[in-house]
Amino acid sequence: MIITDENYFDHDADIGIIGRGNSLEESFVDAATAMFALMANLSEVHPKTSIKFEFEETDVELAFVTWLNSLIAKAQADNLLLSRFQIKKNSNLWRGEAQGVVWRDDIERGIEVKGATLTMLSVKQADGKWEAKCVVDV
Amino acid sequence: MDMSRIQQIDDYRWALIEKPDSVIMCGLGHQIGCDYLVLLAKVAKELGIHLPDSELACAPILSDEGQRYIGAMCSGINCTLANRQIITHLTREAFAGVIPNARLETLFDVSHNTCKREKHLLNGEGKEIYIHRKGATRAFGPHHPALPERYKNIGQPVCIGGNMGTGSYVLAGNSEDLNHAFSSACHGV
Repeated sequence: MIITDENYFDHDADIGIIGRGNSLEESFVDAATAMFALMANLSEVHPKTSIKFEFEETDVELAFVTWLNSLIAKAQADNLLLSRFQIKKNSNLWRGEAQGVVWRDDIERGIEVKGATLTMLSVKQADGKWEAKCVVDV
Repeated sequence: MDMSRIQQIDDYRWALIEKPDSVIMCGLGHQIGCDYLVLLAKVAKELGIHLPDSELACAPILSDEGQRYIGAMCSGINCTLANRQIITHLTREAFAGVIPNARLETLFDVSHNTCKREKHLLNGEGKEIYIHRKGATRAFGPHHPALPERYKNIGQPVCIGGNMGTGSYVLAGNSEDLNHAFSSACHGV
């Protein structure tokens, strides 16, 4: 996924992220990539470790925030920089995976993202394309 | 944690401190916030509460979800209080190895970004209310019953941490009639 300025919007002292895709899951992946791209240059990350998790949520907007916050929590717990993401929805069960590396001194750190918020939260489909966005706390 | 030096005392109750070199902060607050925002957003929707912004997710304070959130938040506060005790102990141990006769006394310990049930004057009447402080800490003025004896006549110590470009400040809380923010002060510059 190529992240551009179109994946972000300004919001006071925080940053808005926008994920887009042909499917709901693709938009979630795009948003996760945009979020972690704030933390470091992901093109220089060659994944060596992976994480998995799952959660139940019927509301797609709350699922989006839960997805992002689960990634941040897992990454912080294991000191990881995640760069590749996958998510599958089966009814109200969401299964997520991500791959990345343990932070190293030679990886230049960007902006620390503390969590996804419900501010400006929106997950919608228009013209066959899905868009998922929210403001992240930095 | 930062190590600073008193640069200037403008009043016997407060002082300007040289800028800190670094500050380290940690806590469970953010995780608790993330978890309960989703829960309370659902409750608000079920109750038909219109939210101009989803981030204003809420539930009646006496509801099951409201009480669970208060409990979780209080647990987080307790955790950070214990955490700061440990940090203080480790700091004293570190200093003992370098400056053996150093005396590191806790001036005051207060948490920020919390919700506390307190008694305040509202329209001249004392009322128990929940005060949610964001980017702020409690700053009781002189003679407040919750203050320890050593600060009864002065008011609660208020530490406002600076950043790389400013100094820090040690102040004292004002009496309620002078403070129009329910005895609150900012927690940083």
